[in-house]
Amino acid sequence: MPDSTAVGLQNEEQHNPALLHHFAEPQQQRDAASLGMWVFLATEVMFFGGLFCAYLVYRRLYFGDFAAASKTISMGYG
Amino acid sequence: MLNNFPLWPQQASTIAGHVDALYIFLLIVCGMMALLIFICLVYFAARFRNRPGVRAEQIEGSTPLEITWSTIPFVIFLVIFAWGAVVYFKERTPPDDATEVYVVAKQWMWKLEHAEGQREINELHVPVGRDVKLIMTSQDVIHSFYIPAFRIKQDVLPGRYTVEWFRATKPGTYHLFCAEYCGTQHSGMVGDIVVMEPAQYEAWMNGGSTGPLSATGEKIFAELGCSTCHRTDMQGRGPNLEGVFGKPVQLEDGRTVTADENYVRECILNPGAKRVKGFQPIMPTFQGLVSEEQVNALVAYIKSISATKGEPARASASTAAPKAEPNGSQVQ
Amino acid sequence: MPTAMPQPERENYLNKEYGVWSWLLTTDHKRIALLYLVSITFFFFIGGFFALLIRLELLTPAGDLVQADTYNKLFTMHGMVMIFFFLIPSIPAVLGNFLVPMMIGAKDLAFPRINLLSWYLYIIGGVMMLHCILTGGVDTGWTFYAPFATNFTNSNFIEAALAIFVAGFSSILTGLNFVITIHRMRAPGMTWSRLPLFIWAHYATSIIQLLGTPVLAVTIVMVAAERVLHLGIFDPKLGGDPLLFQHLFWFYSHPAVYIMILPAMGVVTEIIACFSRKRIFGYSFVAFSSIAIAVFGFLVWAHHMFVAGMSVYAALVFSLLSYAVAVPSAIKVFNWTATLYKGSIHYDAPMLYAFGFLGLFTIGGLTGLFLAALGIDVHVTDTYFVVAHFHYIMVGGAVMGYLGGMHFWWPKISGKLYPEGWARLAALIVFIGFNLTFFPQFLLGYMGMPRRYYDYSHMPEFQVLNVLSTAGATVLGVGYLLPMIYFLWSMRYGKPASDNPWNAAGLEWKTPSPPPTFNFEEEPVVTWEAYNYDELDAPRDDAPRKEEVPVAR
Repeated sequence: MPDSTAVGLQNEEQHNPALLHHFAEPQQQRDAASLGMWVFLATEVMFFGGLFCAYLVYRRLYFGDFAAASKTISMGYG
Repeated sequence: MLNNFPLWPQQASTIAGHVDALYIFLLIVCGMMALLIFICLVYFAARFRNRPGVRAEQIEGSTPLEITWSTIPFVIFLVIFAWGAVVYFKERTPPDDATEVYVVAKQWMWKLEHAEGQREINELHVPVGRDVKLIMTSQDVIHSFYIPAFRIKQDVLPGRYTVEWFRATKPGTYHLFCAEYCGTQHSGMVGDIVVMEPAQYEAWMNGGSTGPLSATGEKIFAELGCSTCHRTDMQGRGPNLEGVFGKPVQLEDGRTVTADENYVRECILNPGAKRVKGFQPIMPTFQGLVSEEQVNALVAYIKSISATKGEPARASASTAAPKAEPNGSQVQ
Repeated sequence: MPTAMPQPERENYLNKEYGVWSWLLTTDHKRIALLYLVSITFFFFIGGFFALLIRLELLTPAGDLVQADTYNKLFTMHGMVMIFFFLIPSIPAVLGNFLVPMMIGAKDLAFPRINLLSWYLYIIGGVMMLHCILTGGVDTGWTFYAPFATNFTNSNFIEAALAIFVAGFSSILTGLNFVITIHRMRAPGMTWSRLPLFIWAHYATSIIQLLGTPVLAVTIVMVAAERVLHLGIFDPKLGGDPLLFQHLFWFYSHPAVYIMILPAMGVVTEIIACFSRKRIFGYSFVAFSSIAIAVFGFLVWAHHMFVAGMSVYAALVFSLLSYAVAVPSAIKVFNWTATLYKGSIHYDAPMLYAFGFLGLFTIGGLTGLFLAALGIDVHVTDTYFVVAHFHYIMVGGAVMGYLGGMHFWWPKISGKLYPEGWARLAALIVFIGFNLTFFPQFLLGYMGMPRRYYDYSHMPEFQVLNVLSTAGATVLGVGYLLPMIYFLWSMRYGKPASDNPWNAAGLEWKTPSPPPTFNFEEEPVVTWEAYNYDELDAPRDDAPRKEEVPVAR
């Protein structure tokens, strides 16, 4: 394993300029970024999931009202 | 200050004893568990304090011990759960023949109305030994009707009815608290439950009333023109409401619901939501045109015209008319 | 004469750079931890000040200290500040940020700039909350139930809600950072089963932060939309359902309490192992019970709603699940106790806090069993019984854990030793003050005293217990002020600490005190199991436990 983790950075040729200092290897950095993005997406699912759930519950309970309201939608506001 | 220093609330209802029994059981069980742990902690802390030359013994663990001290508590928890569930069922299942009292909560007072018509503010008079069912709603925010001496509590919500019941066992005056934060005077929304001997209660009842709630409801029914559509012959544009309360109702969208207090209320305030099968959606909403008390009175009236017993849901035989309705009415 | 020559101070994370910008733009997890330390301490004392005013009001039955509206704002702001700006960040943002990379042998967290962003989001949320307080505060209760918060309160609720929204993203990003760091940045040889249990606890906490907080965020969006746009999501007059709010709110807020307690459990595990000089009993069980608490914690939210108007059958399910979630916590308590068996116990201040935690968390947890019992909950919910229960866990548990951890790792963080005698005294004062404050509240609750009442003149029989509680609160306040004072004192006058003053296990103790910016001179390669106290205490190493550095007393 290349010793590029040492603070003094002895082996310049093994140090990719894109590699951030706290990662040992570029692959580790890529893995971390990728896993991080997936976990963040999971949090987004939880965020919007609650909203969609509330919407679906009301749509089922009051579908008549939703149908009536859809006739009054303003195309301008979308 | 020191004279009046109770540490246990009074028991004044049939359920209070059950709740206290479970509580004492829990005190004993949890007390023993806590004592066991504390004794171990103190003993180990003393016995195994660091001493020169004595080293700690590295113990990885013991799966049998882990299983044991997971399973035994869990079994105990299941017992507690089951007992708690049984008590809860009792608390939330009012007897069928309970006397009904309507409660309307508003910031920051309790308005109560007995079925016989007595109105009270922040006070509820009940006879000892009678099952009383509270049918409650709120005019504004969520409140909670809490009687510590009876060990009962139920949140009171706007937009629907919630129900609570009790049977008082001891005459006396007991605290009534609002137990769900509701704004500035939440701590002021307190009152008294006055439990009286039956004879005293009768005397109190007869001390003036405005007539039974259902009669008030009947008046409102006529004043608002409900009987225009909700006729008792088959000509009405709305369903005949006699005998309807408590029975299943077929809705336009295929569902079947029971015509309970919440359904009747919803029909008055939001008629399109659960439209009865076979009728046009022409009933206007009375949201904003009736107060909560008036809705209560209407509900009481609808109940009273279903009060004749032994009526099948869609009988075609004519029935003995309750109150002032004409004879020969068809029960829907 | 040799002693007259001052040694040049070794470079560490504190003295590497000076200047305000080197702190405000730092990406060093240790500096960010200290930024958090200062901020959360500030909010702790604000929340604590409100608590003091609450307890002063409750000395007398009449509402004679403050007006009703003011009192309602006091308990609301106390709750919001303490929960969202003190308890939720506390251990993860201070001790977690500082220690997670070091404990696993990494140079920093996976995303240092996101870590700094987390702090800024916390500060922005905090400033908004402060502004809200200064412009009159909010009176909805920290639980801000609809329809009161959406339609009836006249206070600046939207600002408080948005402050919590922003702070919530701070929490989510911290959780994100920890999860990725623990997955991807462990040093060679640091397998999952060699991780300190502090790491397992923070891992479980981070899962909850990631999955739960977004639901609070969306609930806040809906509440704000309802208040501003009158959409009718929760307003029954427009077809909405107030119970929907409660489900959404508690879906986050119950797991939130596990966010607050799991890290403290991790701290206590480390302390007990070190001060008993032995490996934790049942390592795998403790590790998996942290995960079990995180998972089950998501399944029990409606035990806050047993009298809310929910169906009886739903209540049964949630009661049963609530008993299930109690089991892993019980397992931990038994394992901690068993760790003491045949240990070699030392009674330094961190261990005193850990003992306090064990006792108080046990009581708090056991009273949770009372609340999970449906029949009893009907009587005691919304009373002081619940207040006592959660304070036993939050204050008796989480805050004790936090203080114990601060004492334990203070030498590492600051390079100085705190004064041991004062620290033990403070621990004792906190323990006594705490019990005096909150035990009477169990009795008050069963008697029927409801929560959030500023005036109990209809029930003067409650006064004696309230006076006891307030007396305890003043003692508790003194107990909290002492560490503030002596930690600050020690930064200037404390004896310098060695690398490992406690001779504790863990990679963080293999660095100098305070550590250099990149933690390790070389990436460690781990070949030993966690809690290798037998090696650390091996006979050859029979030097005094704290090496030659004397402890300031």
